[in-house]
Amino acid sequence: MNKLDALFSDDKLALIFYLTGGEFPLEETLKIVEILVESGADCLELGVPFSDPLADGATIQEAMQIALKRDTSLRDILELAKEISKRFQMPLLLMGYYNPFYQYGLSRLCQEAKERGVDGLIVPDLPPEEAEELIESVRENDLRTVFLLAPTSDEKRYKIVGGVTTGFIYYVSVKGITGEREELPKDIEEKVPRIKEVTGKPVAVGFGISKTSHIRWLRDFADGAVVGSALLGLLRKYEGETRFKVVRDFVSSLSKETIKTIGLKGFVE
Amino acid sequence: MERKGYFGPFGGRFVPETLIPALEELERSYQRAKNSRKFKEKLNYYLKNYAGRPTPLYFAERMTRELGGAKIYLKREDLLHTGAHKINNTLGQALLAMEMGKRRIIAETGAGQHGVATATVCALFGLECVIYMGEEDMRRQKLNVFRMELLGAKVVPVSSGSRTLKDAINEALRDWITNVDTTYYLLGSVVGPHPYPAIVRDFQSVIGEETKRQISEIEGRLPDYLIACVGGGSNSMGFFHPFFEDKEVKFIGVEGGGNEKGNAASLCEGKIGFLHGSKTYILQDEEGQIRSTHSIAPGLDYPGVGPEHSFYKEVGRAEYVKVNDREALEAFEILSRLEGIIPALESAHAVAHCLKLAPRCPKDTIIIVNLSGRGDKDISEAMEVLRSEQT
Repeated sequence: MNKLDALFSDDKLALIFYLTGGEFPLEETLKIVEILVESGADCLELGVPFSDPLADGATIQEAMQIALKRDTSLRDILELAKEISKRFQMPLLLMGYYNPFYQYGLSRLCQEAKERGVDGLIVPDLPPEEAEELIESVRENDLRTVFLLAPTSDEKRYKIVGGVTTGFIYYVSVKGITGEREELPKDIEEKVPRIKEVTGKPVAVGFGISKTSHIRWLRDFADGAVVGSALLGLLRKYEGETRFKVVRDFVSSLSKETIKTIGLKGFVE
Repeated sequence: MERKGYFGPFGGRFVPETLIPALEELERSYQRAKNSRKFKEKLNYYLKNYAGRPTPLYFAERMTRELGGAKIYLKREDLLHTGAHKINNTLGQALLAMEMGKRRIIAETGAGQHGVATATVCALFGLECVIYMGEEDMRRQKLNVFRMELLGAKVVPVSSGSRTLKDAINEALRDWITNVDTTYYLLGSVVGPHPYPAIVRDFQSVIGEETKRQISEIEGRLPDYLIACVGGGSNSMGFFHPFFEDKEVKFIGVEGGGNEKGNAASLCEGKIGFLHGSKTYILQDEEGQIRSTHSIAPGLDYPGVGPEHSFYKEVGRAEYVKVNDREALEAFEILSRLEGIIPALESAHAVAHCLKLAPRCPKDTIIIVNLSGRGDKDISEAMEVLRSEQT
């Protein structure tokens, strides 16, 4: 069984949230996840801290620095995944850079991740051409792959990425790194349906997603949306009960906008 | 056949998807330029008339006599414009950027040598230039920051991570991801994703090609040893590569052995991993986090190394050794006194290994040391260390 297989539907945009594992102590992290789930999150992406996260902007870089100062290891993240999947049913992804995964051992990583309730892996610095070994380990352990496409990708890339994706395609909304943005590029509206058509795979849009207006726009042509830096920004800005309330309000406000208004199919068969 | 973009098991293209099309475009453009007579003529024109090539192959007579063993030659890359081999590569890549129609150049720099060489060619060709430099390095290398600004470059301080070269590369890559349509990333060493290690190697190979011609003219044969320092590894790769098939020529790469606080010897002390887009030897901890490094030579102070060097190590084509801060400083003084040449602290590492090797060799042995840069940039640092030791 893999929980990712039931993540996407024809009538609702899936809301995926990103947290850097180890930025907060375990109990606090579990409380945050509980609030995410209660307020309408559909999936969680758990970030593995790395010293040199070159696809990430300032917010996630800082989260990783904090996690590393707290001596967070990949083993700790796997234990965190276990605690989360014990309590909550939603699909769980590990997002991490390749070197820490490679040093841990890809086969061992995938096996232990599966045992702890993880459903898929995202490795932002591992394009399909270099991913043979990872794809093999992911497949052997009934996990799913999530590969990325970007505004610079052409149809040839769509086919390559579509061919090895077993979870969903993560469409990077902008030329750039992670971080909140006011406006998203208009061409997402044409690119995402085209990617779905070429690959036959569900597509979630990430990078810069931070507003209800973004969700309202994406819901009718994308299958999912990933929110990272905007959430981390709130978690860092507020403390105590206020923090939990602010996060609850933020996630609920996004969640309210996820019901699709037009009868678009989730993806083309 | 070998996998594309690999040197044996090393190299590859481990970068975010956004950059893949840009790297493919770069590869195509480079292949075109490489086969273009016009491009080669233009590059050779600037190498000769602007940078000052060919550089001499100088017989170090006093040093040879003092050490009492092998005959020692120095390849004088320190005599090039801007004071180091870096300009061979920045001229080549700036011309390539213009062929590609890109007029915004970004680059990383550690100590500032590659930054200065990049700012220089951008001034020469009228290109916009942005240099990423760690805050910590900017503090240590104020003069080079000013030099780059004088040449019209914008120097952007990098405050993430350890605030040194590796973080400057991260930040340059982030800029490139963001401005990929208009921007050319002018990488300074044989590191990074394919095709950079091959491009930088090819532009630096002029060092080894000239050396081969010169030593054949002077001695009528090839040398027994080539010695060069290895940080990212561009001067050594450019020096070694043209001799790859000449199996009788032994290559020795000298890494920064640092001191008790740390080192920068990726090949001697590191293990295989992934950094800045390629699979190579890396200084890292058990968790795969990149370790902070130390070397008295800022140009060696980097936790990775070019993937082709990892390949040379793997197949035994080159030997890699380390020289510590102390030994490098001694060599810095010895070469200054014996030959009237003040070497860069990076190049002093290669000299230091030569000081160990030469006395053990018979008199008909020929050693060539690549003197990759001059020491002017290191004077105040060396003065501080040497004076503090006297008191």
